[in-house]
Order: sequence, then structure tokens, then C-alpha cells
Amino acid sequence: MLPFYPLLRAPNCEGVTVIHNYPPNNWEVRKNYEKYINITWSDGSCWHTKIIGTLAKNKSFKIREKALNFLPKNTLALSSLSINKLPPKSDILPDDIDMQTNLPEWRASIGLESKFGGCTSFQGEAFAFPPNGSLLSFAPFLQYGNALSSYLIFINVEKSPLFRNTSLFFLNSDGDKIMAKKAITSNHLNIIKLDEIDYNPSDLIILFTENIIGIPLFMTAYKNGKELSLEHTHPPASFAIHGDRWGLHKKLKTIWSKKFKNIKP
Amino acid sequence: MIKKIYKKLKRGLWTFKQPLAARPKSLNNPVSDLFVWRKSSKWQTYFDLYDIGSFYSEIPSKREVNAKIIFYNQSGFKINEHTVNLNPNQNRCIEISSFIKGEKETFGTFAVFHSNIPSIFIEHKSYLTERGFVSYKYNKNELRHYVHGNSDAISFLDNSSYLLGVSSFLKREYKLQFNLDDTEKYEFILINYTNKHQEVMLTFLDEATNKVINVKKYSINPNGCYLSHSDSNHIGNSRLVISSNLVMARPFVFRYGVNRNFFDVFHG
Repeated sequence: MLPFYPLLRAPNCEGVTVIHNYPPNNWEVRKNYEKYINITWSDGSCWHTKIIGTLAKNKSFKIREKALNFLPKNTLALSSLSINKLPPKSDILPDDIDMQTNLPEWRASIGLESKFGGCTSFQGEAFAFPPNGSLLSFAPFLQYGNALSSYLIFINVEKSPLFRNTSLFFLNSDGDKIMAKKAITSNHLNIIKLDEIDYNPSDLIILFTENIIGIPLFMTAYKNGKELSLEHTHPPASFAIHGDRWGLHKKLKTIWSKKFKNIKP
Repeated sequence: MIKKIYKKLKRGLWTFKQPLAARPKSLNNPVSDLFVWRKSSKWQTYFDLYDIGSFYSEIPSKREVNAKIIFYNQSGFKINEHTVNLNPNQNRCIEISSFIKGEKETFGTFAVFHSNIPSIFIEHKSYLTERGFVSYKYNKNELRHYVHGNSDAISFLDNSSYLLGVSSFLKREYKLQFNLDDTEKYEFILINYTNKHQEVMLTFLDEATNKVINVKKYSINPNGCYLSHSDSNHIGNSRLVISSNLVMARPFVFRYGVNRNFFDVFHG
């Protein structure tokens, strides 16, 4: 499967993604190639891809959102590297020859730069999520202070280009109260201001969805972006190693689905 | 068919009996990543601590549980431990660096072992693990910069910890997929999560020519860590390749702007 590298967006910040045409280790990919640099986006009915250049072996390329002036406004832009030319239009998310690695994944540096000086990134990638899957995520990232502002950037990518409107629920730590319900859309980069949600400093943020999966990224800015912090949550399956960790993950989701269903409106 | 078998055998050289983390000795043993602490007049380190076990119960328990935090210096020796009581489903952001006494040590690692291991983990033959969220305040900034752990490295039994990392049969290269910009400075912290001494080689390559700019060699104790700097004299962008017998030599990267005044941290 072809990994995609999203371009982020946040208030006062520009998305910067650096893609790399070299594998992360010396044993999973034996032969590398010069590759096409693609930008893929959905208009709600089909996927569009524009080739913006080629990248030689062992080289990196910095993509800035503002340089992609062909993109419609508020689009989720997905960069990728492919051996073959991706189709300019397609009904499903384009794919190419598998150059995936596992230890670790073939990743890009995905980040944000603020006009006030801050700069942050993480090493990441995105694959298409199955539609109608659910999400449970535990996040401790809230930071409080007069000059601090926090945002959740929720990224969803699906094979279908359709834009589905659904909801993301913010639960309290015990899972017996909905702190906020926010509208989100598939194949979008959904930005939610967290300071407006009434969490206490000792609360964990519990994110819950019924029919959409995504990558929850938490961004906190100091003085509108003089300094930036960005990190993603661990999927709850990573609370366990070895054994039937996916069975355990399923049980955890069942427990929290029950809690969610028992919340009185 | 023969091609498939050959491919499998070739991959086996890198994967056979070389998991990222070995199984702990008992299902009751909690597991932790090894996280990096930093402490100095410039650095404060924090950790968000919550009772993971309580997520697995339908009714919030009123039982108080705890987590043991063990601190190691850069040579891998235990220097302190601290037990923190936890309420179910509540987060405690703890200033980890306040537990490091004296000014001799400025960085090292720590592990977090939870006392509450729900029976559901035992039933699934899984081990509860703390993958963590560490955050750093640099230069007295108000903002904490977050990074999560990146190895299931260490477990705990009978009041002492033991490492889970496995050495690779063959020398491996970890190629950091990050463009080292000459307008920024970097520090790389590598942790040896195995029971063997590890010889580690950091090779910096010029991004434009792919030529070697600098090579640095280190020896790291079991459970120890090493801090290396990027080459600040090089003009042009570069990339880093880490060669070692660690199955995955992912560094923590501390990044500082030179032209733009910023700080950032991420893992490889």
C-alpha cells in the first residue's frame, strides 16, 4: 500500500512536509528508484493527483502548502512518492508498487511552521482508514496558561473520495459525560479549538467516534506560535505488548462503547 | 516458489529471534519504554501519569493504585526511584526532573511501572505497557514540548528492573528520515535497551553529494544512553545514518532553531 504524507494546517501556521526518497533501514528495501512527487486531494466525488516533480534516490523534498496554489481552499493535501505515474483522476485513493517498510514505517517529517517563529514536526505517515470503523483515544496533552492555545487536528483519509459528515465526541475521563460534540468530515483535516472545552487540568481527553477513524494530533501554541508543540496519541492497542493485544483492544473498545451508550443526553 | 523461500530466508536473517522486545518473565510484570529525562538550569522534564489499568474497568474503581518510577543515569545505573499514587482515570503531570538530586547528572532515562494490571491482560497473555508522554520545558518557556516513548524496553520483577531489548545478529543501519538543516542544531539521544554493550556509529552524509561529512563512534552501556550533537560547521543540509546491533536504533531528536528561535523534540 502507498503511504501518504499529509500537509498540516493550523491557525497562524503553515504546513510543511518533507518527504524522503531513502528507506529507513538497510534491510527491508533492497532497490530504490527515482520517484514521482505527487499531491493528491479529493473534491468530494473523485481523487485528483498532480505530479509536482521527481525525486532522485537519497534526496529529500520540502513541500509547503502555500506553494500548492492549484489546491482548492481547505483541502486535505496528501503528498506521496510513487514509482509509477498516479492517475490524474480516480474513484479510489490511488495506489502504487509496495515500497513499504515495517521497522520502522517509511515516513516523512510532517510539521508546522508559525509566522511567529515556532517550528515543530513529527515523523509520520497515513494510510487509508476503513470506513465506519470507530475510534477511542486517550490524550493527556492539555496545557493551561494565559499565552497557550491548544488545538486538535483530526486527519481522516479513506479510499472513497466522498466527504462524509459525522461527529467526534469528547468524553470526560470516567466516560460518563460528553464534554463536547464536534462535526467532522472524512478526507479532511478537521481543526478543533480545545480551550473552549471545559476540561480540568487533571482530566484526560477521551476521544470517541462511532463511524470514522483518524489520526488525532494535538498542537499547542505559545503566544500564537512563538513556540509550538505537536504530538499524536498512541492507539490504545499500544497499552499492551505480546499475546492477543488486538483481542484486548477490542474488549477495551466494547467497555467504552457501553459507557458511551449509557451516557444520558 | 524458490524465489519466495529465498526471500523469506533472507528476511529471516533480520527477524528470526530478533523481536523489538522480548517477552517479560511473568504476565504480572509491567513493561515500560525507557524515556529520556533532562535536567539543568535550561531543562525541566515532565511526564503525564495516569492509571492505564483503570481504562479496562466498566465501573470506575475507588481503589488507589500507584506507579513506580525508576531513574537511571547515562551509564545505565539506577540513581533514584519514586512511587506515585494514582486516582483512577485522572492525569497527573509530574515534574520528573525534580526527582533527580544533585547537579552532576544532566540527562539519563527513566521507566514507569504500573501496579494495577487488570486480569484481562493476563487472560489475553498480554503485558501492560507504559508508552508514555514526556514533555520538556526549555529555556524557562511556558510551553511543554511533547514526545512519546519509542521502545518497549524494560520490565520489572521482585523489586528490580530488567531489559527486554534484543541484539541483532547483523549490523543494522537506521536511516533517520529527516533533513538536518544547517540553519538548525540537533542533539540525538540513543538508548541501549539490551543487556549487551553496544557500539554505535553515527554517520552524517551531505544531502547534495551523499558524501560522508562526519563519523562519530560511541560505546553505550546496557540501560545507558548517549547524547551526540550534529556537526554545526557543515554548510548545507545533511542526513544521519546510525549503525549498530540494536534492532531499532531510533534516536530522540532535540532540535533548535538558529535563525528562527525555536525548540522542538521528536523521535526518529
